[in-house]
Amino acid sequence: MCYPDLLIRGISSLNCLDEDDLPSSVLFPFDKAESVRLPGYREESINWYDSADAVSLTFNQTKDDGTIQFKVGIAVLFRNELDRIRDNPQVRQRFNYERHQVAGNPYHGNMLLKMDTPKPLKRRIQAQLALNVTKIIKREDYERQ
Amino acid sequence: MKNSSQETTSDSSDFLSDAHPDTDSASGPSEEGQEEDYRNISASSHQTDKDSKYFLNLPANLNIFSGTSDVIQKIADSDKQKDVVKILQAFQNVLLEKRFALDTIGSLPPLQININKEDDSVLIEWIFRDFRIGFSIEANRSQSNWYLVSNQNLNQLDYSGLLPWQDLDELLTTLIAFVLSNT
Repeated sequence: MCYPDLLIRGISSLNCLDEDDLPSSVLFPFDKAESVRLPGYREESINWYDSADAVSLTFNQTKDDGTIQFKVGIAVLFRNELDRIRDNPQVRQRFNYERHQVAGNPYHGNMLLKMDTPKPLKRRIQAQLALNVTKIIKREDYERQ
Repeated sequence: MKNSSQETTSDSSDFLSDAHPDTDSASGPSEEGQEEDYRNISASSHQTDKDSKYFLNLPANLNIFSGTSDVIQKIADSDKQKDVVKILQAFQNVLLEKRFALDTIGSLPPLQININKEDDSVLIEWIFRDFRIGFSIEANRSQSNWYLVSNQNLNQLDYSGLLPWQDLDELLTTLIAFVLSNT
């Protein structure tokens, strides 16, 4: 499977950023129900940065009711930071990622975390992800461009 | 955020060229009168301000509790609410103890508190540009834990442990010493 260097995580709530626009760990909650498609894992949606179109598509994503999904903006991460977390011996293959295209979104993928991940380790993985966000693009800035 | 060792495609480089700038957390000096106040208070004082119901009226550069009272009120479990306050009060004790050393580093970022609706846990997070410190208060109190993780600018540290409820001040003294050394 081919992956680009960067990936995008949408930000839907102001709780996910502090006053300096640094991301909170709650940007990566891994609190959804167990994946039906991948039993034993929880998924967190991302979009792979295959091209600049992935950014505009993410900003334009809507919820089922037609409202904007990521009202606050997007966070950008380097894939090699995910590799580093995945390959950490303490994580022991509990964390991974995938490409999983869905209708209308060829860039879609997921970060995956095993259901049996101990909570303290999950907290540290969340923190590592948030710490390694390399860029935040707020909606107001994107729309101003 | 600087990440000089990252290799990117040219497309990615363009995309990241205006990555959000480093924000200097230092702010102006606190108001003189306020500074006078906190230099004369002790950790056992009972003075509070209207924005930080549970806490002393700390000067702006040390007031990491702004906004926390509102979130604490939303914690449904009163025992967990007490645990959060206990951690924040331990923070306050150590901040007061270290206040003269902390004066040299400018403003400290405020604590972020988030309640996880799925499992009712509470995360207190202290976010710095190159590292972050977290305290997770779990449904099972004895499983509550802390962490300190850093990025590659600080050698990707990864420390964690169970919360020592009987000796929070000692843990926080160590963590704040880290903040002093790396901010």
